[in-house]
Amino acid sequence: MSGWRLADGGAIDRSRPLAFSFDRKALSGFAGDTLASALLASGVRGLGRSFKYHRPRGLWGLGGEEPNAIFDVTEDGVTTPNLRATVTPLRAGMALASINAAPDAAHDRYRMVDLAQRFLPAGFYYKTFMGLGWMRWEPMIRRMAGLGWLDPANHPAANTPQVNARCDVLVIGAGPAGLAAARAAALGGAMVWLVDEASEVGGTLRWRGGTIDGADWHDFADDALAAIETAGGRVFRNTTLWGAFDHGLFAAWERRESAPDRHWRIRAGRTILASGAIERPLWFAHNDLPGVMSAEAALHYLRLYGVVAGRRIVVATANDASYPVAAALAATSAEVTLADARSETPGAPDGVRLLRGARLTRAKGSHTVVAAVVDGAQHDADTILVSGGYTPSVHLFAQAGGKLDWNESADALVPRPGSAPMVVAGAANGGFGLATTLAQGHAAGGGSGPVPRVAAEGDWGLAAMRPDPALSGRQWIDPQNDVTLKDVALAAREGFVSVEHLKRYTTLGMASDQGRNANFAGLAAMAALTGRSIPETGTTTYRPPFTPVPLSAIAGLRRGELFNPVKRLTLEQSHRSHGARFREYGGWLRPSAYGDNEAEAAQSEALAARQDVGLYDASPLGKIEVLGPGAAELLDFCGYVRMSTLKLGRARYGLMLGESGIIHDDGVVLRLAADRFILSASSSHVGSVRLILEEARQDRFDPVSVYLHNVTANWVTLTVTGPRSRELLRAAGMPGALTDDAALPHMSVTETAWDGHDLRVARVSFTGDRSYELSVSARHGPALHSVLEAARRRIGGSWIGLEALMILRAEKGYILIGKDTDGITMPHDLGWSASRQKRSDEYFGRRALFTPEAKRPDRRQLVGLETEGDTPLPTGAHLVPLNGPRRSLGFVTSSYFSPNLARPIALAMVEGGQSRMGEELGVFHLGDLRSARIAPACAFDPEGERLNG
Amino acid sequence: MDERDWTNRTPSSGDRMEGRGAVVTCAAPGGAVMISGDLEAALAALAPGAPFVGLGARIPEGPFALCIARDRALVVTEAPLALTPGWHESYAATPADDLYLCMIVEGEEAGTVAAAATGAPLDASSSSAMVLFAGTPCLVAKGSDGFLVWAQRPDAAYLWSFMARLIAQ
Repeated sequence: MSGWRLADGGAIDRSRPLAFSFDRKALSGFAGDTLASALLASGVRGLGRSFKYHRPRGLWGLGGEEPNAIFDVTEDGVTTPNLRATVTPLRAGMALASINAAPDAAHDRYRMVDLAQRFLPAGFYYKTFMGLGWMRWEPMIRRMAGLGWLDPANHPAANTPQVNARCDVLVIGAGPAGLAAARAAALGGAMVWLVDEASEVGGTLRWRGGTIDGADWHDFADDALAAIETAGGRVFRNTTLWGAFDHGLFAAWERRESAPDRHWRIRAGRTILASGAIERPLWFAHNDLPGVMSAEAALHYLRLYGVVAGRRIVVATANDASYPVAAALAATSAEVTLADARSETPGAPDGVRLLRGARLTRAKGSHTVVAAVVDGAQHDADTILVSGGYTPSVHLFAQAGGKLDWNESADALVPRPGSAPMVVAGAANGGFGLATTLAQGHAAGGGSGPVPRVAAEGDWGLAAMRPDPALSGRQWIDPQNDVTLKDVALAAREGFVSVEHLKRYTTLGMASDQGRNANFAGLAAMAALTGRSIPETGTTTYRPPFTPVPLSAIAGLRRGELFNPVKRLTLEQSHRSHGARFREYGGWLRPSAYGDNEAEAAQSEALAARQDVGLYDASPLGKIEVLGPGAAELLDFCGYVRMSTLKLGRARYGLMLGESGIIHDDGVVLRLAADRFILSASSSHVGSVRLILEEARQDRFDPVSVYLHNVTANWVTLTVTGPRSRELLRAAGMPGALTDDAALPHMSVTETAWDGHDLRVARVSFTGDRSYELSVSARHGPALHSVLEAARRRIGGSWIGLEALMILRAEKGYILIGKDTDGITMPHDLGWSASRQKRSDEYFGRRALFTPEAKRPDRRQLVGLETEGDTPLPTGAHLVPLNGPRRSLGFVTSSYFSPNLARPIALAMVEGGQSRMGEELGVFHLGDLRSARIAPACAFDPEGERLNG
Repeated sequence: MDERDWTNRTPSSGDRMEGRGAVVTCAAPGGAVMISGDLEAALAALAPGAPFVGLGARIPEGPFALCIARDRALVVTEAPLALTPGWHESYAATPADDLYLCMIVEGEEAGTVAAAATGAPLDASSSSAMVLFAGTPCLVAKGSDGFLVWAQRPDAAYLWSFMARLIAQ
């Protein structure tokens, strides 16, 4: 119990005490506290356990850099995992639970793991858990680690509005540099948006204070805010600008108390980054003990919350910024020793014992700090505050593509001017000290008047501090993930000398602080170990988000039917009224079957369609009109099958290949005029087929000679299929010519009129039976549906869903692209070799069809499978030799029970399948082996007589 | 959430919803023709005198053509036009009366709805009316008291639900 609260002071509301608990222990804080300040004031030290060794962990920082104080927080019976104590406001009734601990931080049963630490160095996962199989170890590791627990009852509301917005100048960070920049830009007339993640503007001024232009800094801040408002700008508090994206897009998460959070997508004319810097730790033995804190954080808690970090405090530093910290703490009743590694230092603050040229080498204690060893001398202490310098917060700059340069005087990597579309000012730019930050901010904002003045301050002084391999004892580089200096050395010895490899081998920088505490030390240590400079060693890649952002904020309203929405049929309600069940097929919500039992309904529908007549909604089939004198030439180039030879009024099946010769899509092309075709792409490929055509149109052909109109959504298409389809059309009063095979033979198309409306009828079949595709403008779809339904009621037949259609087409061996083909299937693998053998002109994907790979005789080929019994083969099952070593020869792509053949049917892709007809193969699935016989893909009506039946 | 439970419907003519300063109405179906190629010639033939409209432009009284790309537009008329689909010497025309469904967003918070759905500023000028609206390609132009969105018919149920959720907040 070390932290304590002053009787007064801080920006908290002492009239409003708030009760909360930590690991079931009742505590209290005040309105205005964060979880961190309330816990620090309560004297709680052990706040959690580390990821790997289950070492005790305490509060380190003041913001997003906090690696240890992370809790599962329960409010109103719902638990939210992994809330960071430093940025979460305290609310009455919160129940905090430590993470990586069982049952709690004080009594963690896994703490003994630390005793085995010498056997668990970096990378031991990769060396240890392979032997008996990862699956054996994974459950145990997951139980022991992984931060907080997900509460199944926690369903965050999908209520975060997404707002797109623009401003003239976006200023990120409302510390001294940001305020100066925003003020200057606003006074220049710009509409400025000033964004800060804290609840109040001011940044470090809030706890360090300052006099600007002869007055308290608050006056300067008020002046800046007034200027912003006057110029039509806006100030965002409690708003984290978490990502910089392409084309000048920034994402910001705004937290609101009495309304749902808001997520902003901001585009700015100019951007000024004033995100400040983060204090580095120091590296000494047992620097991970609870009670070791950032000096800057200690001042933050003292001034904003009236909390003193300890009673006997050692401040270890090598820079001037720690002196005000020591002075402020000494002004309380705390006993303060300042150990400065430099021999030349400022004078000792009042009440502070200053040790010059003094190096902290060890913290002592088991669960909390009890002493600090400085130059071999032990100093009793309950708290060690450290400052190893400052690391500029350049994340957003780097996310925007900016490069970094090493700045020796700042001992930091700083933004390279001009390498990203933003100006960086203040500590983020390596400019430390109030006068420097104000000057840089003022200049960044285009300030034309005098630079804001501050009281005279001396030069900013610091000495570079680094991890020291010569020190005995474990020095933590990454406290959350338990990466020590020895781990970095081990990585270097094993050849993982790139910082990207170092990160992945040791997990350094992968903790929830995303390397804010660890990365600099890690790369500095690696640089020293490999004899390279820090710039030569480089940094890891910065990626959004800057700090953790709830997925609910990013997703916004897009959940349920708004998440990845499917396309809807015009006749959806009509189908529902006929008992349709719906599923997503290729991005469309379509009837799967008509009836409660989908499997049974599919069987009866498939039977009815073969015996009588079936009707189904084929509206999603693509209708891409290809128009103009160059239309035939474009289709010839983009298709595997020539379409320029297609006669008017006729239809032809074709394939579209990718550049690599792989089948991209199949479909029917209808020719309605010499210069007008309709390409009926498969439902899920309409968009990509149009893009392939459009690219060729614009890049290869004269773009004024051919145009594409994707009017798929304009039409309702209902297909009538089966031996009594003609009868149904007649009963429905369709024009007589439609049912005249001489006028409209199989694979033909006509445009006519029905009931005064345009009607297009194509005789193409996906079932192998006589079929008619009837298309009308969507507004007439319900009428067409009614007429056909009335006819069906008179003569019989059935509406069929996609599940029945899948059975029918599989009986015929008709493929479904993406199901019966995969990423290596070429046309000749399906038996479509004519174009490959005969076409001499150029077409898309042609050259790839003649590579050695494409000519391999053992390529997987489409076949059918026959098997004994009534149980269909499992789709996806591997086909293996029945004799000899077991290896995959291919796999089952489609499998059903055929009600028309009264036996299972299946399609498969098998190595050299066409030469294996009649061969018995094994079908291996989840440890079971069945046998199947290779057969032709077409299992039903192989002569195709039913197309005109 | 199982997609089988999705029963939100495609809006139809006259459907209306209101909330938080915005009213959304589904417009009555009219006529539309997709044209490509020589757009001036196409418009002269199909709707003489009708203007081309891009993002930020106000919809006029009478027919107009929403620009989609530099060589493609959607001619919007009060009723379907009688035309011969296909190639017409210098332009292509295809009936598209039911390709899009128009939703009218009005009210003082119409701008808020737009800002939630698209990064394209409606007060800026662009010769094309095609934008991503709630992640879906749509045609958008200004109305007298807000804006109009033409969504492809299969996407209309989603967009209607999206805006319903938005104006309910």
